[in-house]
Amino acid sequence: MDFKIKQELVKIFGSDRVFDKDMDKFSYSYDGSFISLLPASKPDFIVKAVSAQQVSMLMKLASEHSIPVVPRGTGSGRTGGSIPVKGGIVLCMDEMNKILELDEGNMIVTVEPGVRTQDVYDYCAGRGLFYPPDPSSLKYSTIGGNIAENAGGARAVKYGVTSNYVMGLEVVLPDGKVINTGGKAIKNVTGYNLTQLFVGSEGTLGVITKAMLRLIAMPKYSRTMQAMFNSMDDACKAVAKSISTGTVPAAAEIMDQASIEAVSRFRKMNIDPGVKAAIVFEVDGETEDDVARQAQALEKVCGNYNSITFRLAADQKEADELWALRRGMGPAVAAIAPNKIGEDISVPRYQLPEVVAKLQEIAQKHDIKLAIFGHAGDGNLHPSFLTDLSIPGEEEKVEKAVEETFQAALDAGGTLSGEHGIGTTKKPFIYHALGEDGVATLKLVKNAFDPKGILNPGKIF
Amino acid sequence: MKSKKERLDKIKSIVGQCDRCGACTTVCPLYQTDTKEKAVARGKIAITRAYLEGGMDPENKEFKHVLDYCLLCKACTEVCPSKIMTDEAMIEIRQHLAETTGQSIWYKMIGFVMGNNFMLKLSSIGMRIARALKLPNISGGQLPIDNSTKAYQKMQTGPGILSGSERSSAELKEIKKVGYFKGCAMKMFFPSASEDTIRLLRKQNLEVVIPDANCCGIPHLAHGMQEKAMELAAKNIDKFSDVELIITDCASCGSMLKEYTHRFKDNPELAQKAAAFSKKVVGLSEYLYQIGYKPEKKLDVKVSYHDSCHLNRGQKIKKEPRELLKMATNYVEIPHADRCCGGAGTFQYDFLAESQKVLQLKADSMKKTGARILVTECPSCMMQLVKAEKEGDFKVMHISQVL
Repeated sequence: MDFKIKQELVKIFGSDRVFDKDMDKFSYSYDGSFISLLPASKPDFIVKAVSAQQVSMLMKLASEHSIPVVPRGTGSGRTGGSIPVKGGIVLCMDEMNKILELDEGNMIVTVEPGVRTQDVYDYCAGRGLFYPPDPSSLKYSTIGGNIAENAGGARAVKYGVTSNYVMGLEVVLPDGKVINTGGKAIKNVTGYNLTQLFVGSEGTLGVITKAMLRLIAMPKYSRTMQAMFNSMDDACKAVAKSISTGTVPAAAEIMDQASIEAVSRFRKMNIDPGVKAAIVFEVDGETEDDVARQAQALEKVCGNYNSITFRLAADQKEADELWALRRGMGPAVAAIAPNKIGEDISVPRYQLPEVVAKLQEIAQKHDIKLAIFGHAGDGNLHPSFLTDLSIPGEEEKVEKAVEETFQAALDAGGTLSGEHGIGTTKKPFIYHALGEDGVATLKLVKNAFDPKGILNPGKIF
Repeated sequence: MKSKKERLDKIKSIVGQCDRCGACTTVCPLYQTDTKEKAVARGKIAITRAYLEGGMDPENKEFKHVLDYCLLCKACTEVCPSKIMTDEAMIEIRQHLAETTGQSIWYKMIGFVMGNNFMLKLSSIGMRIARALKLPNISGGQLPIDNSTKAYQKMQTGPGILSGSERSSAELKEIKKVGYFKGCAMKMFFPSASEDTIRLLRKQNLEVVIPDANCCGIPHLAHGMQEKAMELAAKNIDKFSDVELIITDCASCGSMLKEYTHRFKDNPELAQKAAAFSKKVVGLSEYLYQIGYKPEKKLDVKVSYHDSCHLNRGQKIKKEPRELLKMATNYVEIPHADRCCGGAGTFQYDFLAESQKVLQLKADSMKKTGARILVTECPSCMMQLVKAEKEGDFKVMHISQVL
């Protein structure tokens, strides 16, 4: 059986694009999530697609034999979305990496799913156009993965998330049919909005093989600032106040003391131990006066909330220096302890201070080290529990703490995931967030698209 | 030597820091040409970690093969947010596997030849004969072409701009007696470039002594023969004890010699001596740049420079060779100058097809510059780069041949 399937796969993809060696199988059994490497969820085959036609043929074959297929970009996801938990075939999309068209008149770029997000940004920026979504993985994650997980990023506070920029898609359905959704027209009410259904579907409804992305004009000026506070509470309040009084920063990245320590240890920075929170702001606009006005307004608001220091970068070099505190935060925090259980809750912006206080209480109660950083402007936090899971009893403690973290987010009117998706890591909590009927509705949608349950099975619910 | 447990703990502390984010996928030269997860640092780290956690059979040939399939070029470390030293993890896991499951005959043989000066001499003589008989052409480029300085000067097209040599009053200038560390690859494969280095140094009014150096130990260190590497290192420490400075024109040797401090830090007998030795080591261009060397001539030949991993990421020497070349040639920067050429010591023989693909990227970059000479300061890179000479229509030279 396996041999016959392999022959068919080789016919579709060519022998150099089908792997099934033991080390290959192992190395496609994980992603960027904190799920243990062992026992490994190995696929039976790994294939590398170069065309939608190949993907379509693969789905027909898989459908006929009821074989699971798991689409994958570069495996940088944080919730296990591309892990082949039921075996089957890992479908790598990273070599479908061409930028197909830049329609400057309509400000739309059409790309294949395997293009890295940074490359999309650079290509458009070179022509004065701006693709704003900027997950911190943008240098290595692919646009297909960003769409499938509806990735966010620092700029979301002002510019929104990936879904706000997806105009149309070419998708291969689980039975191999190829459909096109949406298009370049801004107004489009022709049937259900399938485009947005696929955005954030975590590879469970169809395989994205092409995407049309909306662009905006590149802002001409920007300034970077860094403010230090002696409490997280003040820092959160400053951000909310600034937005409600009309200054919407292009980024407002918050980090607590533990996070600041982690990065400064790595980058050999000297930070005053009295600092309990920091925010890196960016503002942008059309004129120099405009950005200067925004910077002043932020300085004033931060001052009102007892900021210890406020630095405005004079040039790009200083801006990079101020940003250095935030860049690479995830891995720097991860390096503190053998295991990092990083979460991705999202709450209404104004509830941020109370949620942060609650999280600190949870960490204290369970005696686990916690680092909190995230996107204060949109209420998306990445609380990371730092521990050594090889110590007996730790795992149970962390499980409790994570559960309580989700509860805190839901209690505040928030949700389980801001930008990483549910994957497998948050599956146990989805009923809690959406209720029985909510999840049943998701399942109805899934069954309508994929009655055999072959596309990325075992995810979300 | 480390105990088994100490070694495993060290490996664990390195691989345990990997967050599996995938940043290394953007730079790993192997992954550029062979986009399989097992080719990239994240894959090797995960495979190593799975082994430590009991999930890999150490006798599995494929497992060992993947761990050997690394250029040790450190490009991943540079972009890694946690600065994980994959090269160090690979060196240590290879050592661990050699100790627990045995060493391959191929590496044993390389280790034997390179660890023995008599065998090295024998090999150099053999190569000289092969070269005299013009065998390089027959062997399909496996025996590297040793381009001469004359060949470079012949490429001069415009008028030579003469400039007098002006010296700075750098501290290094006080030093009068230096030892030239004649590495195995320079000795065996590029004897004329090695002669040029010596000539260049003597012109600086230096007394240049050439002790009978042993292999620096890097091939042994990289392939699970650490004990031999340390034995060779100890010999070198002894042989160079009476010179004030140790100059090497081999990036890999330089990187290894400077590391003796670190490698011997837990050895009570040799720690101090090793530290003193490493402190005296300088690379050729590093030295020339620091003493304010001015080339006698500037030739109008378009020249590019390839960063050897061991010079650039290994020793942070990036600016020095470029500044020197700008004075001596019509210098153009090659795109991705710091991407590994795929040579990486024995890698180019162990994984011939894969290393050719990585080399092709370099040849493509070279075509974009229109340069006729590709300079580097590493004989191991040269051995690899010469294979692309014909196709790319350029010549590969050691920096000593151009200055």
